[in-house]
Amino acid sequence: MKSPQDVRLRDLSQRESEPLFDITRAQLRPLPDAFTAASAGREWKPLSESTACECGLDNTCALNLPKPSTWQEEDELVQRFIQGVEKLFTSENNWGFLQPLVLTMEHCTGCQTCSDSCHIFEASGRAEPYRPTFRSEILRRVYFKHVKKGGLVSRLQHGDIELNWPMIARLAELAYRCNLCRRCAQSCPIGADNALVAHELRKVFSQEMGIAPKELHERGSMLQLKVGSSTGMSPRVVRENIEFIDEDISEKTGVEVHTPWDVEGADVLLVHNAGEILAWPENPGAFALILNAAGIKWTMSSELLGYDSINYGLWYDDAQFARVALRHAEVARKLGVKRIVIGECGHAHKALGVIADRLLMGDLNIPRESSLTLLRDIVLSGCLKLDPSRNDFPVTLHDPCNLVRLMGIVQPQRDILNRIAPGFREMTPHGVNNYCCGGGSGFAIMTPNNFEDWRAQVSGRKKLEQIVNAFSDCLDDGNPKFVCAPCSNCKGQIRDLFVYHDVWKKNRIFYGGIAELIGNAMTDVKPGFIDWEWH
Amino acid sequence: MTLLLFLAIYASAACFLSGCILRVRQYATLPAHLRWELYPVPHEARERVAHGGSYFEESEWWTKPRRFHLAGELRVMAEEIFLFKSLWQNNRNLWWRSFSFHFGMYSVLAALALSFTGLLPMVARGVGLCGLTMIAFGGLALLLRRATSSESHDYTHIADYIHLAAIAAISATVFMGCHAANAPSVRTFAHALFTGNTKLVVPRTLSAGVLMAAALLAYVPYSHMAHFIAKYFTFHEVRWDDARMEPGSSLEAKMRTNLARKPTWYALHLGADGKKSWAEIASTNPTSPEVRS
Amino acid sequence: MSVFEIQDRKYEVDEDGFLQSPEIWDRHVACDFATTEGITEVSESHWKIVQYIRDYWLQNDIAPMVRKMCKETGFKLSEIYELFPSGPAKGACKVAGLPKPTGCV
Repeated sequence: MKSPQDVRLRDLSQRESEPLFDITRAQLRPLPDAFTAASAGREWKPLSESTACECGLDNTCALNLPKPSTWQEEDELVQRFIQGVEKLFTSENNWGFLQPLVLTMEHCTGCQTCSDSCHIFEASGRAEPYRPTFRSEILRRVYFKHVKKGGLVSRLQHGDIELNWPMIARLAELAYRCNLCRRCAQSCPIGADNALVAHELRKVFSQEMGIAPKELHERGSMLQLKVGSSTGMSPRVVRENIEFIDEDISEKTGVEVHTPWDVEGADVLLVHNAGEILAWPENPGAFALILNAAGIKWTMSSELLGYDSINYGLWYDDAQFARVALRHAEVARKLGVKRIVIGECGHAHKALGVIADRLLMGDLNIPRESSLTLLRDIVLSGCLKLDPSRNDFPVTLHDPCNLVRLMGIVQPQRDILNRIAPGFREMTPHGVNNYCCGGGSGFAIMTPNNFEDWRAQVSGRKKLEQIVNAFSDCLDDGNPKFVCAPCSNCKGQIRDLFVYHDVWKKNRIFYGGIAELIGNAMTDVKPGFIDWEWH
Repeated sequence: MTLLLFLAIYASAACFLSGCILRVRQYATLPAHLRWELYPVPHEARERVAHGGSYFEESEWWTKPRRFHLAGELRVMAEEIFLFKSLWQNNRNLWWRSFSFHFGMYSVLAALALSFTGLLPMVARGVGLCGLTMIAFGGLALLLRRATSSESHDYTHIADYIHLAAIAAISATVFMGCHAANAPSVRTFAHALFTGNTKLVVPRTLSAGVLMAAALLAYVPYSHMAHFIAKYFTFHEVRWDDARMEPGSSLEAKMRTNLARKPTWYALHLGADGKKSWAEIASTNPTSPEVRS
Repeated sequence: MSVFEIQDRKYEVDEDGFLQSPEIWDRHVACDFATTEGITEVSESHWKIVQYIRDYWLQNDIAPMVRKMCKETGFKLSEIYELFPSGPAKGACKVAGLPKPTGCV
């Protein structure tokens, strides 16, 4: 086994099935001093699947790829991969991303400027395979050799590669060691986009080879298209659950809260990430409370997919993406609403707000708006009675990549916090230069084997460091502190990070969405909207 | 000898220009893609550019006119093109090498242009020689970085070394050629080149330098050195492309063409048989039995 | 597919360690899976939660909302985490023999 810093491209084709390298705690970027002692305890669960599945990259495993049993099978897989890469570079199969991809393939100069912007590479102690250019270099060589059919000159220009199944299996795993946050793309002097390469590789694996993490495909987009939500909630269950939330919030706030369903011609169709309803009900509850108090004519939809804004296809599969986006638009068209407002979910914002924009034709291109701008308007309009002193605790803001760097919604959430949270302080860096929470691109819901260890120790490490640093003046004062993360996936990741590193018990740092903070500041409701109860 | 030199220059120019046109055409004719922008987008409204915001920050943004802030975009472009600002911010160790290398080229081009006009000949010569020195210095500095950096192992190819070494060598040779006895002025040389006056005497060093430069120039568009073309597309057509879909727009027409394309992806859940279009595939449900079969 | 083996009993589990055939679940199975969650002794409190989750799942084919579970079983969320250290979704559902909860939860 090699040290993570010494792994080279050619090592990926090694036939031995044990991992090429181990991420060990000693190599990870140290956490801030104030925090290190507290989180030293947790052990990385050993990878027990390594004999049954392809786990030849590092000491975690996201895909659980079965090992081919014969040489013939292996050869077919290699051929299938090559055909997939060929299709990736055709207009028929990949018009949606072809131009950015070709530019990235042909013009990376290998200067490594992007490496320092990658939180995963940095946190891992600079494990070479996590370098943003590493997986791109592999695809680039495959592109010039198999797609452009380059000869000797091309080999001198772009290098050579011998593809075999172990390399492809490792590359498949490697496509799931990137959060697709595109911070690397932001720093590229040429404008190449290595995160796009991870995205496109995932597409080859899913669209050509039928390989994708179970959480994203089988139990994600497929389940959503089948029963209406990736959570498995049917229309009946979601209505029961919302009814429960309405009662719960009414009881808690002393204000009668009622969620309107399927109101035709409503001004606003509010679509939450359905995970909010199950795991963070105070968020949809706060939305109902706020929208009712502001007199907005809004509705939720109990139509299949109309109550779950998620679109996991964004991360791995264009066809699944288009199917879900189309159904979201159809639900809104059928109800005849004026606009769709997307709840606190980053990837749903980017999916329906940005990427789907050019897919929705004619009357399906119904205006889509962020809940953050709507909430900002409500908060600043003065129509709610708000008392910022009810939020008299330190608050920091996490910027979800999809909302901020990839969509440019930066200021509304700050306008809200500046109005209602006197203890608001920024993380460093923030806004469009933020760091991903480490749960991006589906990781927040991926838990196979010991993937959670990897998420909490590697991909989430930088965010944890930022959070700890944002509260460095009050880390151990025993008073509660709040990380505002207006995105379901980010919340899930931050929750898991905090459980893993025992952050609530040791440092009293809690987390939640932005609607909850607004609810907590409303003077018409009983004080204490935010439960400082852990988890 | 001079005839050969002139022919080489014409051939090189033809090769370079046609290569550049092919490159531009290659990228410009790729299908209109989905939005994939990255903020900050510098042509956004002034009050939003500072924090990298977009029009999505406005409520009911679709009812409001687009405000295109051209001056903002031009400023960012100028900073990027002439000062290499993103490298300055993100990779200072590379910046001085890259800046010297590329700014040297700008200087040489500026000196050539000035020489053609015949104005301020001493300034033109000074700028040109200075530019050549910067190219050679920057090229060697870049080469050294690639050769010694532990980060470069898998990402530097033989051609990268050859490109940099060749450019440094050419700059040095031309520099020496300019100092050779009887070296013609740029203006004289250009006049002879355009009028086909092959009687012009060109010192050997200069001939060698110009010949090598011509060879390299002809090759540039066929290598990743054509990134000066790519950079237009990566920034204007990808990172900063925030055009929204308007009904009846040409963008909508392009997207209709795209949605009619017929994919052949193999995985079962797509149901792509080469006959169904993307639009049709998007309206199927992979969990219903007919798609899975 | 992995196998979880305890004493002489074998269960097929997914890569997260969740029981693959929820229909074979009974109290003995629950006790076996409780050991994977670091639960040494399955108390009445554990059973109350497990039984609630199980019943809800049989009726609705999905795990209950965490908040609903807290309200109807009378346990605070922090108490549920004390009982099931990996939480209601990954811990309690596993012991209750449910498939792993899906979506952004």
